[in-house]
Amino acid sequence: MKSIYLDNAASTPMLPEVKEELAKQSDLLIGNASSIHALGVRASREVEKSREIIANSLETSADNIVFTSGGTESNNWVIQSLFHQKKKNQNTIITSAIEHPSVLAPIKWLAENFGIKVISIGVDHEGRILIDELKKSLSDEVFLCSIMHVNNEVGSLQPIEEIANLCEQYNVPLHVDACQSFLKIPINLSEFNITYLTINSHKVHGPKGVGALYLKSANSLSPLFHGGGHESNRRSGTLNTAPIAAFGKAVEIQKNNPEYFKNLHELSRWTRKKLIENFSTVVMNSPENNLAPHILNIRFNNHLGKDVFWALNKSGVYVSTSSACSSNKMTPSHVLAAMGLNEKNNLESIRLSFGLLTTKEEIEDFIDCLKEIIK
Amino acid sequence: MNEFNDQIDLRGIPCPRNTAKALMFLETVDDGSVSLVFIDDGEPLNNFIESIEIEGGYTIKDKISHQTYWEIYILKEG
Repeated sequence: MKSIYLDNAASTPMLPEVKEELAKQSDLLIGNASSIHALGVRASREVEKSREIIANSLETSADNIVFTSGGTESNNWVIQSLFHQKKKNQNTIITSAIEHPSVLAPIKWLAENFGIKVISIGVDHEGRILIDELKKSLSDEVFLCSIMHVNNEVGSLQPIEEIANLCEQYNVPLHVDACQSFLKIPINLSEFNITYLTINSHKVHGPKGVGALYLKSANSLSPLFHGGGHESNRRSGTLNTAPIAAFGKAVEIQKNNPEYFKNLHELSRWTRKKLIENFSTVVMNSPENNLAPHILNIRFNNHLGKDVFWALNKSGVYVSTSSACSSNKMTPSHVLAAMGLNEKNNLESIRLSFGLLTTKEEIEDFIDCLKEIIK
Repeated sequence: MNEFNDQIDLRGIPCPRNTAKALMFLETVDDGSVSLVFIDDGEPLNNFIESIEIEGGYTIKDKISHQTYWEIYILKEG
C-alpha cells in the first residue's frame, strides 16, 4: 500500500504548481531582494507580488503584511514586542487554554522572567472559548489578548468576530493565530477588528520556512530582529525570496479555486460518517459544528492513541497523537484536558488532518488498515 | 501641465521595493498610457530611473522636481 498522509495540520505537501514555482524562482531569483541592481529588483518584485496576493486574500493592503520565517516567529514577535511597548499600568496578557505552544511558551517565559499576569480563558467541551470569562477578564490593564482562530488539535473554530468586538470595546489589541484557518475559513480583515494575525505557508501547501504577520497598523510593532532594515525596518533578515514567491502561488491557486474548500468539508464529513459506520468504539473529540474542514480528532475506547499511531505508522499511514512524549512518559494533550477529557480518554486520542491532495480512496485504505488494528 | 492616465505614490518606500512596486503597477496599465509616479529625491530617484531604463518598454516623458520628491511621467510603449 502506498503511504497515506493524514497529518496535514502539522504540515502540507506542496501543490505541484507550487513546487514548479519554487524551482523556477530558485533559478531566477539569485539576487538579494534588498539589492538595487536588476536582479535585486527582480527578486523584490516577486516578493511584492506575493505580498499583494496574500494581502488580497485577507482583504487588506500589502503594506500591512510582513514576511517572517513562519508561525512561531510571528507569534513570538507580537507577544514579545507588545510586552516591551506596554504602558506602565498594563501587566496582563489574556490567552486561551488551548493555544499553540508558540503562543503559550513565550507568554509563560514572560510570566516567569518578568512577572506578567496571565489570564487563561477556558473552553467548553467542544473546544470553544468561554466568552463570558473573556468579558470578565478584559480591562485597561491588559496589553494583549491572543486567541487562535482554529485549534490545531481538534479543529474547533473560535467566534473571532465576537472576540474582536469585545477587545475593541476595551481597546485591547487582539492577536489571532490563524495558521490553521488561513484559506480554509474566510477572514475579512477589512471587517474584523483584528490587530495582528499570524499565517504561514506550509500549512497551505506552500514551502516551509515562510510565514507572515498582518499588522492592522503597519508600524505598530517594534522589531524583534534588528539588522538590515528589511521589510521597511519591521523585520530584519534577508528575504527568503523563492519560497515567498511560491507561498504567493499557493495562496493564489487556492483563492482561485473555492471548490477546494468545499471538497475538504465534504471529505471530513464523509470520513466522520465512515468511521462511525465501521467502528462501534470510535468517539469524536472534534465538535460536529463550528469545526475547521481539515481536522478530525478521534479516539477508540480502550486503545492507547500512541499504539494506534505506531501501528498505522508501520502500515505507512501517518497521523498524529495529541499527546506528547516527554521523559519516557506520555503527557496528555493540554487541549483535550481543557475540553474536559479525563487522562485515559486523552491518551486514547489521535488526530487525522486532511489536505487538498487527500483522496476518498486514501481514507478507505486508512479505514481498512484501522480495522486490522481496532479489533 | 502634464496629462496622465494612472498614478502611484512611492514616497517613503525604500529601494528597491519602490521600483519593484512601480514595475508591478506599470504591468497593469494600458499600452500607450501615461502614468505619474511620485518618488523620493536622491538615491530612490536615481535607482528608479536606471531600473526603468533597464526594464525597457517605457519612456520617461517628463520629470518635475519638488523639494523632497519628484513627479515622473512614464509612457508605456505599445
